[in-house]
Amino acid sequence: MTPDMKTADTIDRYLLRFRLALAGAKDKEELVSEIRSHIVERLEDHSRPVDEIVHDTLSALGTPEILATRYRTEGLLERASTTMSPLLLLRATMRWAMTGIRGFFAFWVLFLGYFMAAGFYVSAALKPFFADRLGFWVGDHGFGIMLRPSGGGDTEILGMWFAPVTLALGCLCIIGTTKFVRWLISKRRRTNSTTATA
Amino acid sequence: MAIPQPAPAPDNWSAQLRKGSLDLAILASLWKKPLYGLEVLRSLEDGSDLTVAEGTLYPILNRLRVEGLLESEWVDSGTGHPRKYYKLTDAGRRRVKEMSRAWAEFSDKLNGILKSIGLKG
Repeated sequence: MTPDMKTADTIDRYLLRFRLALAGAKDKEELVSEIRSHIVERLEDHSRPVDEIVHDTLSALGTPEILATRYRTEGLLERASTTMSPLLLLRATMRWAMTGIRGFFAFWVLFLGYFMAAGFYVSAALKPFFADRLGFWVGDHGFGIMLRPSGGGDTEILGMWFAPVTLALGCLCIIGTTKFVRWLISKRRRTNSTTATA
Repeated sequence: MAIPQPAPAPDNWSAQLRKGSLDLAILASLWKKPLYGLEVLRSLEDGSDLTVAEGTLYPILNRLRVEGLLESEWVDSGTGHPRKYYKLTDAGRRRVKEMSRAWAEFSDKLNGILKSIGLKG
């Protein structure tokens, strides 16, 4: 069925917005062609008015921006689920965070994990410059890593091992956080990334 | 004191169950022959109780393709416009079998528990 000028214009505008929303995507033209093909396919239903079919089809696809976000999120999370790149994981979880509470949780876990790792690395790097103040202190106040507690009476127990230990802890933070967030992403892909309407 | 949580509504639980099985349903719908997007959609509607929004299906198909479970090919439909057909790769066929086996095992075990309820029909 051939759409009239107004309906054809609606379809063209939808596809144009979709193309713009996909800016930078590798398979942009292929994705646009597939959505165009889908709309044309729907128009072959001769039992209903064309404008009604187009309205229903575009509604089922969602706005062009939301549709593009779904493509991007699926693709990004797919790559992130197997990567060890902190930047890619941060990008993926940031995008995921915009779509729901689980993504928000994953983003903050990642952020805090990497923040702690950065803290360990920085303290290892600063140890030679603040040898008397940085350490693993045990004393009346309990124990603590990093700056010497005020009041004195605490003993530093790691000595020259402080830098290697904090570097190892930083690595553990990075690896643990990365693996945990990758597991969250894989879990999402298995159960919640797909959205069926009942 | 723990705050009692309301039991999830059956409709919500049912929707979650459908979501979790969607990848398997899409891959399984392509077991016999290659299909294009709208055919996958109709196959899911006809062969199961799964109604999937178009805006959900296409990104999933694309992801499964990127994962290497599907491959796609544009074919001239003879109606004046090409259609993008999806078919299972060897890895996709292996994945469907693994997922089907896991689904069957889980279903059998659950059915064993549900026997005691004795619902019929």
